[in-house]
Amino acid sequence: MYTGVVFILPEIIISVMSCFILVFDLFISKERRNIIYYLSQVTLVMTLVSLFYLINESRCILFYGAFVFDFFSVLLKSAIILISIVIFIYSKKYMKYLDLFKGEYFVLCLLSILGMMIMISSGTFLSLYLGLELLSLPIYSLIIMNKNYVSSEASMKYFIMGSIASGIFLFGVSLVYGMTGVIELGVINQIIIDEEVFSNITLQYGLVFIISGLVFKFGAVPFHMWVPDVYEGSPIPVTLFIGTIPKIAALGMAYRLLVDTFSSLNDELEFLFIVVGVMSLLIGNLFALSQVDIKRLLGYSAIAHVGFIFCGLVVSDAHEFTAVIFYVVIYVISSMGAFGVVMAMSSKLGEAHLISHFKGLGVLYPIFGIIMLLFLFSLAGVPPTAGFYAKFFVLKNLVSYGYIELALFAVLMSVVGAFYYLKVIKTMFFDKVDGEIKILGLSNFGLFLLFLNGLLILFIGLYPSIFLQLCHI
Amino acid sequence: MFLEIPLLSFVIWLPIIFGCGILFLKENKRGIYFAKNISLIVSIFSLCLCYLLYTGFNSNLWEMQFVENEPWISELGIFYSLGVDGISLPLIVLTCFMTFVVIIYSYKVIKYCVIQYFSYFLIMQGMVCGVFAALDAILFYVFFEAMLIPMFLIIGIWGSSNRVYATIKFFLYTFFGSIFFLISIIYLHYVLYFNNGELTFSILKFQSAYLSINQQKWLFWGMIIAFAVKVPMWPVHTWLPDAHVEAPTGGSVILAAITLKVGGYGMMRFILPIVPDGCMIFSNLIIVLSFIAIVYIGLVAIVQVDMKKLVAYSSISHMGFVTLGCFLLFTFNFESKYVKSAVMGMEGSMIQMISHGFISGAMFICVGILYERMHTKLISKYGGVVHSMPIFAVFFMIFSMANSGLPGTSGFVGELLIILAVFKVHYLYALLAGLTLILGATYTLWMYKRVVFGNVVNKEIMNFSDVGMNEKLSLSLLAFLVILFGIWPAPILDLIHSSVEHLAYQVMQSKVF
Repeated sequence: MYTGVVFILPEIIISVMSCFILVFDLFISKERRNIIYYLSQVTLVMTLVSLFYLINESRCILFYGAFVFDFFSVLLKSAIILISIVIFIYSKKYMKYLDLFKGEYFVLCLLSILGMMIMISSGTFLSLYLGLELLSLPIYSLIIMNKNYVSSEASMKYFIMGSIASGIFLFGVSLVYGMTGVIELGVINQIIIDEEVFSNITLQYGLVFIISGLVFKFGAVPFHMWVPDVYEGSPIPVTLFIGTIPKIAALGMAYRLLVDTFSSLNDELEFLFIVVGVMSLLIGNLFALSQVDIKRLLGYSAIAHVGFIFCGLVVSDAHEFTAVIFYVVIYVISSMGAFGVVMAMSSKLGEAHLISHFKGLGVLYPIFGIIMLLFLFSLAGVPPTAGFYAKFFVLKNLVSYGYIELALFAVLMSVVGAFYYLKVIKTMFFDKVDGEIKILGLSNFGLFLLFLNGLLILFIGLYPSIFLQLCHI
Repeated sequence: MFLEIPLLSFVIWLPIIFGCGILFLKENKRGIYFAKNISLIVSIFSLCLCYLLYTGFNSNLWEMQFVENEPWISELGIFYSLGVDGISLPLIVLTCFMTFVVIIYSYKVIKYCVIQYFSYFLIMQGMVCGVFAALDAILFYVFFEAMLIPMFLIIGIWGSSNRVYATIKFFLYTFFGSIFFLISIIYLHYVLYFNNGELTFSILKFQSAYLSINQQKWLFWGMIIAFAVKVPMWPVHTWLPDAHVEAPTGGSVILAAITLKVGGYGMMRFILPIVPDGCMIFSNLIIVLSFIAIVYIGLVAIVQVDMKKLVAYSSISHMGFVTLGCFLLFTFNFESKYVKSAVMGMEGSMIQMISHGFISGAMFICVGILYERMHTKLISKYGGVVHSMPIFAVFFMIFSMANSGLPGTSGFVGELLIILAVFKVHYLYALLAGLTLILGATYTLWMYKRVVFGNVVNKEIMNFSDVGMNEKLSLSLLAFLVILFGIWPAPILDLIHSSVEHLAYQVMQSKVF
């Protein structure tokens, strides 16, 4: 049993520390709330260290199949933890300024991260569902931290839709359970391969419902309605959180479902993913064209990117997952940086949420401007930024499996996508503005990290080999 | 002697690194001074590197020289491989030279965001050199796309009133074209992997791949879209007048002199050798489109009221000759007695590209000089400029003559070679191609007459100061080369001959198995 505990050490650290921080927060005055911030960072760093400690262990299944430990999960968990550390650093100054610098933010984020970690290494449908709910519940309350009308609408929408999606997911799980009689993912896979399933049609029904849950978590069409509203309604630090790491968690879920559970149902999955991917690309890109709010724009662009991810999943099996992991991580890094710049560029007068608020800022503040330029070009997939290789590897897989039409459609849509990123760049660089505009900026360390973030995008764009090997599972 | 030094890498990365470096300078008097002089020194230094390339280059060989080959993304067989042959070397030298001219010209002209301006031009120079030197398709594509970014910013930040529309149109047009190219090279990679089991993106290996007729047809269309937009060919040319009119003078010069050449170069490097049978099938279409560009766009140029637009349309018309020269050899049905004509046509294309680089750049600088003094590009606002700017009028005269293809200027050589080759196909074709000499003379000289001669229509014109030191230097450099290559084109012809000949023989072999 001792060995088992070691493997869930990261999760234990996070859950214990989040409970501790929650209580500790009660005894801390408002002026000394920095302690909470540092405590949560220490928690994350400790988790990261414990993950690195485990990195060389081989795959094992613990707790009667409920918990799977493999390299993939360590990789994704480390990515999540690293990115959350950066997110906290980016958000600090902005939250203080918006009076959102509360203990709850950190506790809720930590709990949500815990949910993601459980979901990534889940071995049964039960733990998968547990992780899914633990991921979502803190996010519902995070959105409403601002306590204004838009936030409550967004939160309510997300909560109701999320509950329905969970219901649908559970329904699918119950169908699969009914047909196979077990909830362990690996065992279900074996049963399907051995063709001992009670009824194939019902199993496919269940599959569709389960994939709907996945599609909802990713925020892909047809379950995309919440994305723009939630992005718009929540304060930017929360948008930054929602817009980045849940995508990695959803990737973990996809891996568990595709590779561990339904690896033999490729034809059905392919069809579902092509439909979802094509529709997300189409709707995400077309709707983003007319947005004036930067958060909504990034929301629709997230839908479009998820469409690309699903196109990548079409040709993914256990051996071809690298391209999709690469895509998701690059997308998350780029959009994290973009949101970071959006936060830094908020003026002291208020939140910069309209694109027109960025008028001329690229020229006035060249450092932020050029970093934002890198992120936006990376999101648009223009070399020499990392976003190009993310798209390139997915396209390469698509073409080599014979989906040339799908690849063509995806790149055509990325041309449409380039337009709205260019629109933001245009506002930042080409529109002239009179006089000085004071922007909020970032803390020195935050600025340094943002700079590193931009350099990373450029570095991966020039030399993707190292990073590609890192994503190789 | 210089083979040990990675000369091409220096030519590419030196300007890019310095260009990024000067971005960090502060926008004050000192910073601007440093930025200007650093970029001047870097561009002079790259010209010296080009001289080393030129002297170290053996023009009797058609093989790639100065080859560098390092693994880059080894999982997919992508290499950082560079090399030059007779086709790419002149274009690299042209790129470095034109950037040098632009930096001299802009030394005093630019007042807004000076540091970024010079930085983007340096980055642009490095990237375009990368496009011409890349021997790996992915490396080529990365440079090909990346060079959009500085150009996008140059037009967008320093352009005139309608710049946003123009620059976004420019970006999207080119981006749209190049994605098909991306899919094509991925498909070629896949075909090679399927046939030989070899993971590679090497352009030279693409050139020796066997492809079925059907594959070649599709690949032809995938690749022609990218390069036709760049050249630009007739139906997809509409971004060019907009981009040119709105771009600052330096941007127009680089756009016309260098980035258009990427299209012609792409045709010679990718389309002709990789899918010769596909080209054979569609060659008539391309030739017809070229004639439309030459004749129809020439007619369009005559009626322009804006000087820059006129020069832009004349660029399209001249680039029509390049595509014509490239695709001419397919009309000879691969008969051996016409090989000489085919090679001549292609050499004509090359020379036309280089001379058009000089001439159109010079024309845009001339228009820019006038624009700075009067702040309008409308021909009707000018008249009698010769009274106040006699030296300028002489330079403008030389370039106008060159633009209309007067013998003795470099504009004549390329056109003559192509028309001679066209004659072997059909005299009617030659007549159409020859029309350009009349049309070119009509639009350029008529504009020259209205702007420079005649009565002074505007009091402001009397107060014009004649060309300054920088302007004089850049114009005389260009005038010298235009006349030099007009009288003595042998240096370029020697440089390109063996490579073009090899290309022609390569194209004449069917690749269908």
